[in-house]
Amino acid sequence: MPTPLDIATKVASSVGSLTLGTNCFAGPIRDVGEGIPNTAVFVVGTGGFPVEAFLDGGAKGGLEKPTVQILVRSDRNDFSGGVTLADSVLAAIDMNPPTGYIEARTTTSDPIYIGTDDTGHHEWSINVTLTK
Amino acid sequence: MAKFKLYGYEDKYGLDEIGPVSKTTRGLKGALYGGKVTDLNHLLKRLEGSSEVIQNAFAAALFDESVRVMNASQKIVPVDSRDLKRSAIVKPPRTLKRPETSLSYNTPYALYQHEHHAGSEKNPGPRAKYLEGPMQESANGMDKRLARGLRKHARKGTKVSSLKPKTYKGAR
Repeated sequence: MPTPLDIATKVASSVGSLTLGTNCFAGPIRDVGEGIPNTAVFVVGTGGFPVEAFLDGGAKGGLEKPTVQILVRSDRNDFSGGVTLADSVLAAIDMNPPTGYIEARTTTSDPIYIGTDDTGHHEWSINVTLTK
Repeated sequence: MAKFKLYGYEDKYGLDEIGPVSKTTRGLKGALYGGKVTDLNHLLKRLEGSSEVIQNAFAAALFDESVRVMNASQKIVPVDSRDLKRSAIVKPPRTLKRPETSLSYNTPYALYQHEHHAGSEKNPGPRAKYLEGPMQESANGMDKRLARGLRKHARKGTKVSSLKPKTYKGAR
């Protein structure tokens, strides 16, 4: 599975209020609309670092280090609810990699508050560096 | 591999004519430091006990690398009124013991623009991660560039005190 989907699946299975495909999505942030609720989480890939190649008994291998960004959007004007959700998402993924991954580390200790969108929804960003 | 941090910061220098003057500004600041690189490991381990020439040269090489990253970022940073682009600054290391440079864009909306992906009227374009992207891409070959820079600056006798911040106020 693509990395963003792996992370979205992990987050949705770890945070009780999230359901993959309902309010937790793999892909860029989308405006509120049909099928896209106010409170939602979006996971998008952001590239990452070059593969670290190695030889394993003569066979070529590589440690991949992809990065993803998790964007958390709160309900309109619900800052505290958004903080709680963002904190839960960070706790669900930091040092808790999905199956098939060696490591998952967030780049900050807390979610980054980035402000509100055009319609008053607060947003947080969580950047994750993975190893697989 | 380069390490990159992303966090809000308190602007102690003001934004002068580039943007609103404010003592506290939420901008975007990335720090490039260290360097867990193959052929520099042995040098880094002995850096604290090595000559001042080597320490200064490493700090200067790190600053060169940071300017390189920021130059790459300048090519993809979103441009409207150029306030964001021209707010960029790269600051050289201040100490030799743990040399650290900083790369920053200094407008109130720098962080939002960097983190928020396309899809809204406030941020219609896909130009997010305009600093993180070049930082990640710079990891490839950084060890060799740092080694070359270290040798160059050691020959020249560059001192960290002679390094001046790199600004982009005249960027087009």
